[in-house]
This record gives sequence, structure tokens and C-alpha cells, in this order.
Amino acid sequence: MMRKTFGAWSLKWLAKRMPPDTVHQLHHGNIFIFPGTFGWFYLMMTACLFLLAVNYQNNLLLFLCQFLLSLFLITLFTAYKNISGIRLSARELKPVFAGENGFMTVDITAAEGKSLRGLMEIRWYGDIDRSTLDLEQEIKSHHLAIQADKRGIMRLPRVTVTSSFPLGLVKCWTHPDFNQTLLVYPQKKPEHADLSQWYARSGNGKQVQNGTDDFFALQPWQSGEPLNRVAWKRVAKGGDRVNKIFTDQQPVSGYLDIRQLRTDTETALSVLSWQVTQLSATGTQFGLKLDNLVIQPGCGQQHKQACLKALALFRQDTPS
Amino acid sequence: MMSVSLPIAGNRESMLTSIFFVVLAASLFSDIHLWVLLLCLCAGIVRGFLFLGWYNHMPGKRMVNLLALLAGTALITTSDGMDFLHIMVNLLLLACALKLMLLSKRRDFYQLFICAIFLLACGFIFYQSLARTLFYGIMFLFLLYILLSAHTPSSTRQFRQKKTFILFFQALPLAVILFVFMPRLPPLWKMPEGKSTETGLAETITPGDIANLAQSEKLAFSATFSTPVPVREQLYWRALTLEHFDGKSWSVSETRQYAETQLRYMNKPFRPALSGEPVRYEVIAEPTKKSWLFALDTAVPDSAASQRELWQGWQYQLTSRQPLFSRYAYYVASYPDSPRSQGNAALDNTLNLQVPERGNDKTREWVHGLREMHPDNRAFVSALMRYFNDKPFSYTLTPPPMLNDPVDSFLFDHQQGFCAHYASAMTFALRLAGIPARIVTGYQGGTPINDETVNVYQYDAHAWVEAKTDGTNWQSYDPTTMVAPSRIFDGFEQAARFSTEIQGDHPLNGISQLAFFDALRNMSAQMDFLWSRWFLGYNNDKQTDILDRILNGITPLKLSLFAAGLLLFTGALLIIFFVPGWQRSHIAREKKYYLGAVEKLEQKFGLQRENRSPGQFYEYCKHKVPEAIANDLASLTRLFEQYQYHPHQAPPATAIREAAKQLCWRVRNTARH
Repeated sequence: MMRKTFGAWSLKWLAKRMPPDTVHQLHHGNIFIFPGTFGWFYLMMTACLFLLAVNYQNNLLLFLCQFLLSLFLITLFTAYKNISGIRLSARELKPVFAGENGFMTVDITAAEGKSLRGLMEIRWYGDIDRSTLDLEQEIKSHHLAIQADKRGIMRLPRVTVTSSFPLGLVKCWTHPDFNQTLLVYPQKKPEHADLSQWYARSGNGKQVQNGTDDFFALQPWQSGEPLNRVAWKRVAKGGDRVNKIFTDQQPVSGYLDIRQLRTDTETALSVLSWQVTQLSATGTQFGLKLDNLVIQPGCGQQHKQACLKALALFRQDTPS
Repeated sequence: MMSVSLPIAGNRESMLTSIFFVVLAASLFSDIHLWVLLLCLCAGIVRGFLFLGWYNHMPGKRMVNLLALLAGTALITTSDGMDFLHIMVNLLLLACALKLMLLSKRRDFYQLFICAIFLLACGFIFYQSLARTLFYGIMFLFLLYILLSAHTPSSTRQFRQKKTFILFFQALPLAVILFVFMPRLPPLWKMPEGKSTETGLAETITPGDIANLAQSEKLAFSATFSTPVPVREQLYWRALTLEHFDGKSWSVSETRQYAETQLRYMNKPFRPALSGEPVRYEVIAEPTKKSWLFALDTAVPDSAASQRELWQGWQYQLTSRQPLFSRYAYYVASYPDSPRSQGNAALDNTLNLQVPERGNDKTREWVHGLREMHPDNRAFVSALMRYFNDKPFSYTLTPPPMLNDPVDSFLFDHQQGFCAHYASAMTFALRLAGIPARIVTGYQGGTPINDETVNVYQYDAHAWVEAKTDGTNWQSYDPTTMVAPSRIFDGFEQAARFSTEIQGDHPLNGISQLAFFDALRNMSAQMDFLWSRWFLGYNNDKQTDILDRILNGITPLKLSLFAAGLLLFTGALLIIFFVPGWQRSHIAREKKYYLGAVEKLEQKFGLQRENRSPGQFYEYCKHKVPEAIANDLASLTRLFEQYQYHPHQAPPATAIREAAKQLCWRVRNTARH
């Protein structure tokens, strides 16, 4: 109970102290610095040595204690200086399906005229799983995985970044909030879509669908279309870019409608989610009807994403 | 942030840590059991194999635990009569050796670091010579280097070395300030006395014993005189008075000790009456783990701190309130002319007339006869001394053992021995004759290392006799002079050197007879003395002295101002270390010259270079500035581009500086158009 209250309070305090932002530059306002466990043991050891030094009236030992203490003070400053000025920035996250892992990439860039030193530990705020990044290696970015378990828009928690350079006696850390959200599509549940009933209802004839099975025709290439269908041999001979069109034996397009599925909403969304990906993979034209929201039939990557987003946000109170 | 678990094969830090421990154990070999050293060596070898990947299995936890149990038992059974600190060192090294075999986690690594510092600290307690201190200092730096390496695993070795040195030298001034000015605390509790190692003195002497005189070449103490140094034959450094005789051994009297404890409890120190001119000096005593101190004749503490810390005993003996576990400096003034007539006469006489019930019958008879011939005390003493001189007594360091009635067999059968034999026989004889007498042990003489300092070594240990011949004053007699005057006049070293029957293992034969080695020895003695005097002997007195000299008289106000000043100074040091403005920027000189000139140009003509390359900037400026300036900029740009893009044929920095200067000058002397 106490812990919960304290946790909530500290998050509130952090929100005031370090408002969300995609880029954080570290400075005295957002770096916390405190002896780590090893640092406390080190100080305890210094105290014990001091007792020995006083009782044995040994100047060498006394000097050793005083040196250890001074060293501690120096590392305090060195540790702070090492990470102040570093910029942490987060990249946009790709949407994922519920049950999968989303990845947030944090980039670390050194301050002007300084080089990054030591190791850095990055984890989600309050998480036990931690991973270490060596700042002196080539790659200075880190992928943080987060489990997405519910569809909708997920606000990502704060991140804790810790460094204990130079001697591990003091820890410097910060809890930046990168202001990132993760769009989580409903989990996919396989169930074949039968589009024929919509076809029968809408009265359209059979249409040519872009597919993958049989070569059908050549069409002038338009920007944005996939390059893997360009007839490169023609281009090599000096011709224009032309797309080879293939066809599948596909039912005609129609609408996927949530009301057709006789299950509870979440399962229905899962089914639709799977169907949308399947149909997009085969290049079928389809539309989507979710209560009052209607997405006109189409195909391609953008259409798929629009549909999936609609599914993810269906009847969610959170504003997108 | 280190990872929670460390790799095993090829982990540099684990290997370095094991090397550190092996070297440390080797350096402490005289303080640890041989098997502990071997265990450390084994751990090092195991670690080496793991590091090279020749062996892929770490020793199992269960096996190491069994080993720990075994080793612990072995330690308990083999550590009889060791003092606490030595047992602790053995235990720590043992634990570290076992931990090394299992080292695979960050936590283990940190634990080893803490233990390593502790062991280094124990090294500082056991050894305080300059050479050892330097050695342990280097070991400490090495340890820091290992710790830093663990936290920057992929940086270059040069960087890690440099950073270690930087940290070390940044912390050093702060530590020195703390050391010099931090108020010193007295010991928080009284430590028990330890077992004395290798010292020429003991609280019990058994002249007839097989054990030879300790012939150690170790330093006992150095004395630095502020008044002229007395001649050698006056340098009788008292340490202990032995007043109890059981027929074989002389020891410190228990009655006396009990009385002293009571007096100390009541805080009634002895205040000797002083007369004559004092001899003033500072003694720096080596650690003995005992609380007796050394001083000449009738001595009193000669400084505020010494007065607080020293206890004046009722038998003219100075002791420290704490056993000497480290080098200890104290100031003394001695008054050789004062008669030693005080003390508790009743107690003194009772104690110093005590003889065992029986034993040494020949001596008893002989003394009885001699006493009848010389009823006068003085005459009796002279007769005794004459006896030693007339009979064929000889001085030797390796007398035959005299186990039964040692005084008898010394006086009448063997007639050879060293100072303890003579002092023991004479004291016994005096007591039998009804004259209160006791043995005083301490050191005689010393080796001058400069005009005011005398080094006294363990082999200078000596025993002589103190007797109340006139019934009131204690007087010193040294029967050894009757036999071996050279022992006193030329010092033990000379006497031993020219004595024909020195043992082969004596420290002073052979090598030290060469002048070159003598010079070396003297030099190292000098260095060690300075080290002791200015660092190890740095105490409250010297601190007060320094403050007094700085502040020109200590008052609370001055002191608090001074403390504030020190804090400010420390703050300033930290600012110099860490404020970025003070740091040298790493921009090359050539770049600085170019950028400086460009800045001047921008300010003057309101241009913006933004992120144009030097070439582009020239093109952009060409028509916006007077021609002369454009030409200057052209030459500067050309030079700078050459420097940047053709490093192998770069122009000298001075050329760029000249071009930049030229441009700046022209910009300054051009009116805005």
C-alpha cells in the first residue's frame, strides 16, 4: 500500500520535473546521483578502516582512508560529468498485434566535443529486466522491448537509464519519458472470410484482382507501386517502366462487417484482424464496416494499416 | 554499469584481479601460512586456465564449499598463538582465493575489491617502511585500474591508464589536505597488547636459556636530538625494569604491575624531581605491539601531546597509554644529573631484595664470604666488578646453555656470556648482600645517521644493573664493561665485527663490511628516517605546530576562518577539475585560427557562415567584402583546405596563423562600406 502510494507520488513528481519529450538532454535538472550498493559498502569499509587507523594510530592507514574518501568525492563529480550533456532520443514505434513485442529504439548521442564512456543500463521504469549497452562500441542505440497485451493505444512508460562510470561507486540515472505511444492491433484469430455473400448482395461482377498466380497484362508503372513487379528486362532495353500484372482466382471484393460475426466484440475484432492481413497479403480488394465507420474497399499497405487502426481503436474511449 | 554476470573465459578483469591477489599474498608471505599462499597460487592458476579457455568448467560450488570448510578447520588448528589481525588476514586471503575460483558475478567482483583494500590496509599495519609503502601504493593504483577497466570494458588501455592516473591525482590533493588538517582522534578503546615479534627486548629474560640473543638488524627506534648528542657511553636507553627473580628468569614484578595499574586508575602519575641541564630529543619508535617506551635516564614527556599520551611509571619508566602498533613519535627531555631517589621506598626495597628460597648455592656462599670482607656497600660493589674483571670472564653471543643453577654455572663453571648473564649474576649477588638491586633492560648506544639523529637497532639491546648502594639513590652499574668495554665504547656492531666467534648467520658479516653497502645502508636508513619523521610520525604535536606557524597563534576565530578557507580551497580545486570552461578544448590549433578569423569577418560585415564549407564561404563572401579582404580570405581558405583535405602535405600551423592574423588585421582596419 505504502509502496503503491509512493510509486504514484514519485511518478507525479517526475511528470512535473521531467515532462514528456522525444528528446532529452541530460543536465543537472534531470540527473539523479547517489551511491550504489557497492558505493555504500565502500563507504562502510572506509569507516571500518578509519576505526582501525585510529586504534592502531597508523598514519598510513589514516591516509588510505582519507584517500578513499577523496576518491569517492572525485568519482561523484566524474560520474556526473560523464553523462551530463548526453542526448537521449526515441524513434517512432511500429504498430504491433496484441501479444507481440513492441520495440522502442533509444538513440544515445554524446555531448558536443565529448565522447561516450562506460556502460549504460537501460530498462523500463520499475522493471527488473535490464540490459547493458556498451557506449564505446559502434552502435549507440538500444531496442527496448515491451509486451503489448491489449489492443488500442498504449502509452509507453518512462525509461530508466543508469550509468556507474568510472568506478561503480556512484550511480547516475534519469527517468526520461519519451512521449511515445504504441498502436496495438487486435490479436489475429484465423477464420476464413467468405466475401461472396457481399458480392451477391452488392451485385458486382467478377473483377480482376491483382494477385500472384497468373501473368495477366502489363500496365504503366506508377510511383508507389512495388518494384518487384516491374518488368526490368524492358527497362534494361531502354523501355519505360511497366508493371506486370498477375491475377489470382479470387472472389470479388466486398466488405468485412463486424455484424456478420456472431461472437463477442473482442473475438470478432481478432478474426477481422486476421482477415485484413490475409486479404492484404493476397492483394484482394475489400472494405471494412465497423458499426458507423465504413472504410471503402481498397488494397495496399496503407489501406491495411487504416483498417487495422480502425479495428484497434474500435469502441476505445481513449482518443487516438 | 557492469553486467550482472561476467563472462569467464577471456575476462580481463578477473584475470587481473587474480594476478593482484597472487602478488599480494606473495608480499605478505611472512604473515600468512604457507598453505594459504599456495591456495592463492592455485586459485590464480585455475583462473589463468579459465581465462585462456583451456579449461571450461568452473569448480563446482559444492566442491569450493567443502574446500572452504576444510581450509577453515585447518586455519583454526594451525593458528595457535596468532594475534587477531593475522588470523583475520589469513581468513580474508583464504576467502578471496576461494571466491576467485568462483568469480562469475558482478557482486563477487565488488566483494573481492573490498577485501583487497582491506588486505592492503593490513599490509600497511604490518609494514611501514618507505619501500613497502611504495609497493602497496602501486598495488592500490593497480586495483583502481582493474576497477575502472571493469566499467569501461572496450576502451583502449591508454585511456584506462590515463583515467586511473587522473582520478588518482585528483583525489591526492584532497587527501593530503584532509591528512594534514583533519583533527586527530585518540584511540577509541584500549587495544590489547600483541605478541612481540623479533625484538631484542622481552619482559622476561632467562640468561641460561638456549635461545640466543636476538640478533636482528631491525630498527628499534630513532632519536633526534635538539640539544647536542651525548657521547655513546651515556646512551643507556631504559625500557623495562625487571624486579622479580625465580632462580632462572628475571621478569617484571607482578606486584609492581598491580601497583602501577592502581596508580594509573587513580591517575597519579609519577613526577620525578629534576635537576641539571636537560637533553631534549624526539623518539620515533618502531611498532612493538607493547606499550613500553625508550628514554635516557630520568626522562619526562616534553610536549603537550606526549604529556597526554605518556605515562610516567614509578620505577622511572615511560610507557605509552596504547600499545605501539604503528610507528610512534614522542618528545622527551632527559635530566641525566637528577638523582633517582624517589618512589615508594618500602615497596622498592621489598621488591628488590627478593631472592628465591633456594638454588644457586655456590653463589650464595661466595657472596656471604665476600660480604663479610666488604661490609661497606660501595666497597662490595667494587669488589664484585673487580671479580668480573680479574677472572677470565669473556663476552660471547653464543654462550653454552646453563639450565640448572644458571648463576652458579655462569660465575664458576663457564664464565662466558652476554650482558644478561652479567647483569643477572650481579643483581642476584647484590640482593643476597642485602643491597636492593634490579635489572634494567633497554638499548645501549646507537648508530648516528646524521649530526643529530641516532638510529638504535635491535642488536643494540642491552641489560644493566641498578642498585641502591647508598640506601636512597638508584645508581646504574654495567658489569659488561668490565669484560667487553668495546661493547659500550664502539657499539655492538664493532664489537661483533671484530669478535672472533661470530655466528655465520650474523647480519653484520660479509656483505655489510663493504664500504659501498655501508653507504647504501646509511642512505636507506636516512630515507626511512625522513619518511618516519614527516609522515608516519605526523601527530597532534606536529599538526598544532603547522597550524601555529600558518596562523601565527591559534585562536578559535582564526581556526574557524582557516577551516572555511580550506573548504573554499577544496571547492576551488573541484571547480578547476570539473567545470568545462577550464578544460582544454580538443579543437586543433589550425581550426581555431581559421574560425577566429571567420568570426571577426562575420561580425564586421554581418555575414553568416552557417554550415558552409570553407570554400563555399569564400564564394559567398567574395563579392560582399572589399577585394583586399577577399584575397586574404582566399589565401587563408586555400591553406586551411590544404590542411583539412591533404593531411600529408599540410602547411605548417604557423602559416595558417599568419594568414589568419593578416585577415584579422585587415578586417580591423577596414571601414564598413
